Amino acid sequence: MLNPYSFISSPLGQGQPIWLVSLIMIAICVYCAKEHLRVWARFCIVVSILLIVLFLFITYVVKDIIYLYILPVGQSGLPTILKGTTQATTSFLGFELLLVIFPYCLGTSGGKLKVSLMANGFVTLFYAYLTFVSLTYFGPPVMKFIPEPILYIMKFHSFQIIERTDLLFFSIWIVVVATSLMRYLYVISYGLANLFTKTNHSTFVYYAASLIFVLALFIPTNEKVISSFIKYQSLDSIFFILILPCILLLVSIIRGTKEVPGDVHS
Amino acid sequence: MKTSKIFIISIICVSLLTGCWDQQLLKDVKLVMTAGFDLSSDGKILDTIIIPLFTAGEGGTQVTESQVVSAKGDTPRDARNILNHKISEESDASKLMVLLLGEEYAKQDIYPSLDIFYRDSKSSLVANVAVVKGQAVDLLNLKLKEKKSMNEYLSELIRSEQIATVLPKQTRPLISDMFDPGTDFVLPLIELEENEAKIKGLAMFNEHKYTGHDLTLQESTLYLLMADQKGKKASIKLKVHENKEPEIKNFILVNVLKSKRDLKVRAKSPDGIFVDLQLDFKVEIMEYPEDLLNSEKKINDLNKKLSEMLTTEANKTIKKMQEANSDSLGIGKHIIAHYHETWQKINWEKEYPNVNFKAKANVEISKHGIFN
Repeated sequence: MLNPYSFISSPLGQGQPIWLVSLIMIAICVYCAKEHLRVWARFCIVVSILLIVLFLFITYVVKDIIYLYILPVGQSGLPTILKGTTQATTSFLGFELLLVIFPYCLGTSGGKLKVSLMANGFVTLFYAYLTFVSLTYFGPPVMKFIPEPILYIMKFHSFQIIERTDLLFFSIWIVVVATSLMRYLYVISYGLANLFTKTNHSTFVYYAASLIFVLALFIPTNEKVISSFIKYQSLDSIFFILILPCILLLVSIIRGTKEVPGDVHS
Repeated sequence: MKTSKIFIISIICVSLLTGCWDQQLLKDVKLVMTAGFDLSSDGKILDTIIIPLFTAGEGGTQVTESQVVSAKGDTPRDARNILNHKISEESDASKLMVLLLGEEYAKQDIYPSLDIFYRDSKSSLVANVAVVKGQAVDLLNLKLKEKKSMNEYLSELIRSEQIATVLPKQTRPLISDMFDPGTDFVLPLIELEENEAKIKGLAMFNEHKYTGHDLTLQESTLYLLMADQKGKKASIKLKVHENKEPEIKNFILVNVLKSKRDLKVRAKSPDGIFVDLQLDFKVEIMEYPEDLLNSEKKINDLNKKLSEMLTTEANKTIKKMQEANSDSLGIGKHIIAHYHETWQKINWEKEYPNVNFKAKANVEISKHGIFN
């Protein structure tokens, strides 16, 4: 639907040296990630306002969609649908983060459960809406030709004062992408800090960021490499968001001990 | 110490704010606003572009002249590259407003010429594609009487006709209708008439090809009303009387104020596909020299007469679309959605001309101006 890699093929990414783009992106993320987790949380809240803008942009085309395109529902059968869900897991990446950061958060287990369910539900609804609009706008036969339907819709529509809506859309959306890079930087640095039994995670942010930068320079950005990355990513996301939590749940049931919430942070 | 630190940091930050890394300056490109594709006699693509030449005048930059260039190539992109050798700067189609297709070219698969627009991330997705009766290059070489550039003229022409419910509005990229097996599309048909371009009606397409059959202006309006795509106004002329003197008194012109369409598709089995099209119009009389519209009986008679005439006209239009094998009303889409089993059994290309259409119009005169 929308993936961060599409930046490379977008008009904004084209002609721009990759080192500069990744340097700017990583620098911003380091700036945020070296601070306390609270900073990132606040930043996410600010960024979530942008979701409203995205929602409004998408809703603008709802008047042009053809509802007939979603019918008949389920014609391709259950196996195809299940196969499709594995590809969709990429959009749900990030929820594995809860495994890492919840011990650092205050609050009751019930409250945390409520928060994660609400977040998950919101993402599901938002993506379902995006999928619905792009499917009914373009129609199923064209969907396979268009790698980024949302950007394509934006490209077709221009307003009185905005000629190329897709460029504006992209600039907004790249901020949302930045939050996910920050998230990974956090997870890496907290993990490393824990591994080396250090209390401050900030120094590890720099190490991780430099490693990411070097990797970004050396990994070729052609479509073949990227699509194989996406494939592995969706496979490992299944491990992280489905299998790992199940194993942890089993372990906690077998051991029978109850962790006190918020105890790591003491 | 602290102030100098802030000073240095702000200098660095300011230097980062200088703008884009890779600029595409308007002065380095030639903006192509109108383009046309033709099929030349030796089977190659003839690409013609119009480049407006901007000059600085009293009222800011103005377009006073334009440059028309043509080139032949094996593919549209190839022709564009050859064109680039002829013009002083790189041509840039990112602001293309109108794309014209020559009649002969449109009879082939038209998708290949659109491919370059869909593929290029810089390009804008062409909103107005039209078919030219004859050669697109002739129309583009036209010297306009109006003091307007060609792209302005053509796009305004198309836009005003969209408001008048003669041409459909392109609300979704053409490619969606092109690849949808359950629908065919129509494109504006423009004809060169002495020194003007004239909208002739709609060119009906089947899959990716122009069928060679057209809808006249009145049929286009009716088609759009049947497709539930009414613009701001929709004028219909009907000959309600036969033997009045002078001839002018036989006609009535109405403007459709409100139109309600009810499309029912029944396709339980492959051999019986029925389409019921119910049209309810609320109209306003624009011209009727017979007058005397104050009696209710007269209005009722006219209502009945107009309903009958529009019913025949609508059915005739549908027949014409079926003869051209152009499913422009998107009946196939309804069958895919609601009768998927039937759809899998039939070959829509073959079945469409045999579909039983039944259109019925119901006209109600609700206004007749400020005169009886």
